[in-house]
Amino acid sequence: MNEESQKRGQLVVLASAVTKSYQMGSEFITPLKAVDLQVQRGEFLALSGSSGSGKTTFLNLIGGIDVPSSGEVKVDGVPLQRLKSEQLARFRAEKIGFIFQTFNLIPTLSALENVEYPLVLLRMKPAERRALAMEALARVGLEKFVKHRPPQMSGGQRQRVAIARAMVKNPPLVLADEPTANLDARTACEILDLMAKLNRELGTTFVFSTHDARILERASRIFKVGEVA
Amino acid sequence: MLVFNGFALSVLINLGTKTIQTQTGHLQIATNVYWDKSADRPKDTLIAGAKQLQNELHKHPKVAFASGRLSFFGLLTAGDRTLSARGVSFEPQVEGDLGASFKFIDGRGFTKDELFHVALGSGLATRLHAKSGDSLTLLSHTYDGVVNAIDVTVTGIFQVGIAEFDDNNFLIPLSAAQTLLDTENIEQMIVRLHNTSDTEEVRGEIQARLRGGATVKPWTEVAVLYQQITKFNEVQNRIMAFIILSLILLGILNTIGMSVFERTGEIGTVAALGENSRTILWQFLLEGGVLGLLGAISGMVLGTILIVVINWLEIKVMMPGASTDIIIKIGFFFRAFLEAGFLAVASAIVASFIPSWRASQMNIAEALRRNI
Repeated sequence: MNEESQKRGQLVVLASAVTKSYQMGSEFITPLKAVDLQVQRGEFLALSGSSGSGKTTFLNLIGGIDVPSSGEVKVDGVPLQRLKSEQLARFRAEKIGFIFQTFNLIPTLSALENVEYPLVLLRMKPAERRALAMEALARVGLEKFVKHRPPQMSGGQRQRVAIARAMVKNPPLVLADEPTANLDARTACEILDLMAKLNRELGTTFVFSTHDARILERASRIFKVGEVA
Repeated sequence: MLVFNGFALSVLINLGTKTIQTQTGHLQIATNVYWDKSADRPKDTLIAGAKQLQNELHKHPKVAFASGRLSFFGLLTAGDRTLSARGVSFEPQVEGDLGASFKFIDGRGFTKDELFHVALGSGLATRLHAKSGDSLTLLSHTYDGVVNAIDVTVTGIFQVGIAEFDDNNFLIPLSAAQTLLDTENIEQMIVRLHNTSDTEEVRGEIQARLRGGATVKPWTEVAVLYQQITKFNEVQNRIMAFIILSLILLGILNTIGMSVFERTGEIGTVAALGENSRTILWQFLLEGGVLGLLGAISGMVLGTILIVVINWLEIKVMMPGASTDIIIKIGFFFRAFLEAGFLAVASAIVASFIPSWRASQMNIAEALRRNI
């Protein structure tokens, strides 16, 4: 049934018995143990859990920037563990939008250039990618800040640029790791509202991690890392 | 590197030019027994019928002149002082007064019709207490082993700048040397060309025309001091290149290493966004290459300024084996620029490889964590 629905394009993420363990010094740590998760297209899903519960690790596995020790992760029907490093990079470039807690913008590039960057990786023509980047920045309310560099912008503005960067290629899945953790409460709500609006208007699937109860209230579904979906 | 290479090449070129002008010419023709030192008697090493050979050589368009040489050891007596010295013959009729090749610090060179005259090296003249116009007695053995002597007049005192030559040599017209040594033959035929670059070509042509029993050698093969300094220079250059290369390697390794370390979060971000590891590797290699290129360009500009300033200051130094101070002249050599530039860029790229590879193989999740 799961396979069937994934074929129809209903299921964006399918994680089955995902376990991740790694060595830290002489100790083996297992932040994720046999986690199962299904995310439907268009969901606005929050991953909750205390610090160190494995939220970031789980997002990394879904985003294809880390590999599980066991289990399987399929995103948009693609089993990630079967992809080689270069294929995974291509997959991330095409299918996943990332939003980070620390914004992770390239400080030497302007807001517009930062948003254009994912389209450069997709080998898009300059004029086309510029138009799309402008559109994405307008969508997050930063059309007047295209030439600003990250150090010249506030935390909220930087996170909006990061959202525009994640959305510009119109990916089926956007992963946000603690997107509001570095922002004050008001800005955090604005950012969450913006993400929710984009989710509604464009139908993009959002999976984000947070441990902030106010933020969790806005999610369409909450998945406690470690619990059955 | 640029300044050092420019200086070393300038010294070599000057030494080469001086050696050609004062000692070896571009080519030397002599009998095989002269070259391999296998003659039973000294007279067997001589070339007979040299005039005909000389006339033939003078017809060659690339030959400036050909001149017969005899060299010998003799005793020079000035008053109560007698010294052993080496006589080198010249032909004023074909070589002129030697003023272009030798620097006369007292008197002059030879005129065409002066026969029993000598020009003394500066060191030799000092030890003999001789000056231009003095009369000396020159004693030697003929090729048949008979003691012979002639009276000669000092026309001038010269300096070639090579201490070993200036201290032990005197110049004498070939006809006077032939009279003293009682021979009409010569030991060697020295060939001077219009252009040094024609040496190998003309050598081949002359060798083909020579009958068996004689061999023509280029100046580079005969000039022992030049060979030694060239070899020394090569070793010195390699050591310098190694030191500079090591400095560049360490510098770039450190710079790119720091850059990778400081930009770990950024590398993690671009990798997460979908940049592949090969592109990340190339980006850092390119950064290393550009750093090397910028370093090479600024080094060339600084080197050029330094060369101009050093040449303008006219710094005098006494080189090993020289009899006089020389003014440091550093030439601009395209080869030196090319070598320095290539070395800087190539070593920068090599040095960038390790940190670039580390950047490209970084664990993305780990790198992203560093951004916090």
